[in-house]
Amino acid sequence: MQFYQHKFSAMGSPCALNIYCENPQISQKILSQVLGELKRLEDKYSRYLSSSLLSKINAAAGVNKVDIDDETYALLAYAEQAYQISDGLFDITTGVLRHLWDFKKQQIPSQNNINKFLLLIDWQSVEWNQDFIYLPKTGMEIDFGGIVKEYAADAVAALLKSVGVEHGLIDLGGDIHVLGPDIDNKPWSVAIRSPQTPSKLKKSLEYNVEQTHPLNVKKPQALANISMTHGGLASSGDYERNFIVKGKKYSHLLHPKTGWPVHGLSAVSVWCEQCVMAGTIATISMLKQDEGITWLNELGIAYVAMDHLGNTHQYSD
Amino acid sequence: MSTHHLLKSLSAAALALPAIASQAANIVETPEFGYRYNHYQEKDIEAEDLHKGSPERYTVKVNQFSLLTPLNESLQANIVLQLEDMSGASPWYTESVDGETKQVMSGASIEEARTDVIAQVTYFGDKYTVTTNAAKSTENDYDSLSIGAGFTYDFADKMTTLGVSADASFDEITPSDALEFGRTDYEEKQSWSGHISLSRIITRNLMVQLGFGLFDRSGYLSDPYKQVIADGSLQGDSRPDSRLASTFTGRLRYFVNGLDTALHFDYRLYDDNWNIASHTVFLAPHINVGDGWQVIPSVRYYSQSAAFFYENYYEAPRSDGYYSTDSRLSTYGAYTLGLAVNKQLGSWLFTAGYQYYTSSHDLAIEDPVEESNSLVDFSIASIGFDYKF
Repeated sequence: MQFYQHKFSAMGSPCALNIYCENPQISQKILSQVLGELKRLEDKYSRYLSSSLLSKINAAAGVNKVDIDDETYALLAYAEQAYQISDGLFDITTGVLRHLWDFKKQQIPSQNNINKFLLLIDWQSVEWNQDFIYLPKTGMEIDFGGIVKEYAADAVAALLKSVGVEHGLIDLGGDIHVLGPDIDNKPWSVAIRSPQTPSKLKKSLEYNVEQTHPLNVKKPQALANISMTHGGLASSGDYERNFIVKGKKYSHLLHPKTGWPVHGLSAVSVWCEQCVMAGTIATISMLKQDEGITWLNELGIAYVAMDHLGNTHQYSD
Repeated sequence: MSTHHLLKSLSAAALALPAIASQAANIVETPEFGYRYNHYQEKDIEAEDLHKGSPERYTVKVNQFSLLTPLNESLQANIVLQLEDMSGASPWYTESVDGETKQVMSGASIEEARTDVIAQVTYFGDKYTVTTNAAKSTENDYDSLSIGAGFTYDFADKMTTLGVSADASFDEITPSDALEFGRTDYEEKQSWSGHISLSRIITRNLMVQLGFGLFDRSGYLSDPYKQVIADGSLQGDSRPDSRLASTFTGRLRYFVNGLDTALHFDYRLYDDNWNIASHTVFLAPHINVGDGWQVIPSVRYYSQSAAFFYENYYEAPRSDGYYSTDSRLSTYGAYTLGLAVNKQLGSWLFTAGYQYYTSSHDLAIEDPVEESNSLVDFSIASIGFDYKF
């Protein structure tokens, strides 16, 4: 068994596939299958591709129903569950606000404009069932941010498992799924970057097992090192994309009820059985703002977080 | 909704995602050991119905041990050992006393022990499972060996599952005290059954299963311990030597979000060539009350029509020679009220339950032609645990 690491870019993020397998040919073959699965999901759910199913659903807002398949239905059902457990904070129609909050131009939109866009955020008004989805108002949008990339990590893990990989780790821009321990039966150590660490030091997460491990890279200051043998880990934070106006930081994560960037936690990482669940919980805790930590503690789920004052909070079982 | 259930509902939705669903095979990850103790107690026969013998009916104590364990990535084994101790008396024959039919019971001397061993191996494929099982049941007067196989297939949409199964069993009956009571001393019975079902997830909260089954039994289908007064003499219980039955089943599982409750609703229609047709309706909400507690009240209603040869007392001989006064062949109805409580505590699941069953001809859908006076009422108290290693 040899260790192979493939770095590539997918879903707009730097990604890495780390696996143990027999030889380089097998590793290449597995990589191409992984890339195929990621491309499939990207082609279907990317909001940047006009040919994607997601774009078609959004383009048909206020016009007509769009047929969906079972996978999309399951994702909508998942999003509905996330909406329910977050009391409406995790709303996949929130993404429309991105047209307003342009993080490249770094401008704060007018409250008038925000109010107009808030009328388009209403997951409960969306009509959907096993066969179709219909967004009732022109201009309404859904997006699977916080779901699809994480789901893709889980899907890749399932794919790796199906081709017989027993030791591996897939990292899709920080959304991680660990498949079995390292070859020596040791857990993978996933270092979670502290939001205070200058991002140019290292953009994404790093993982290593021991100092001798091939994955060992010189680490910037880590918020935490998590030992993982299986399951998913996902992170959310205002350090990913933000801008600062008059000393106030505006995060890319927008609140569905106010239309304004959330302010509460700087960073949160959650780990559990599935990456998709970890991602949803992390996102909801960010959206809960000052109540995020309390909510995470009540859930009893493993997490590490930093609030905007720089205090670290952690829970693991 | 408690925070624990928030996670559970989200996890359930995540597990329904196709790519994750294929990864989350149903195979158990760690061995699981279970124990149950059931105390089955029949109510004494009414004094007014009893002519001779003990009024006391059966008491059965059942100790059940089960082990469920993965053998490798795709194989799972399940072994169940069941030890039963039975004591008490049972209805023997009916007699006409001053124009009224009364029950004669056996003496209270019956002491029986039964051992059941069931072994099952399941293979989990990508979209299908294959199960084989074998079971052996041993009593001092009864030996039964059965084998079976099952197959389930998940359709590509992950919403529909087809299940097919078949089994066969071979029984040997060697009644005790055969000579003394003029019983048969050796008989055989063969059975086979086939079952097909289709389950479908209709909405994210509703699952429906429809099934059809065929059962065929042949050989000695009478009860060697029952007798009948017919044609002026006491003779053995005598039933046709073949019985073909079919069943239609419908099951419905509905999850009520706000109440965190899974509603189980089952219906079964049974029909056989002894003219017995029955309806069974079962309703049980599985209520999650938080903190790992689950409460399951249940109600079951049953109604059947009588076998074509059943009579409580035979005034006249039958030309076909079939005779039985077994109350289980009469027209009657019954209901069962139950309550079970489960508590999950780390790797442990504790369970306790109580059921009360009462039967009567008045509860039957149709009016009985012939009323039995040995219908039974019973209770079952159970307690047990499961432990995941």
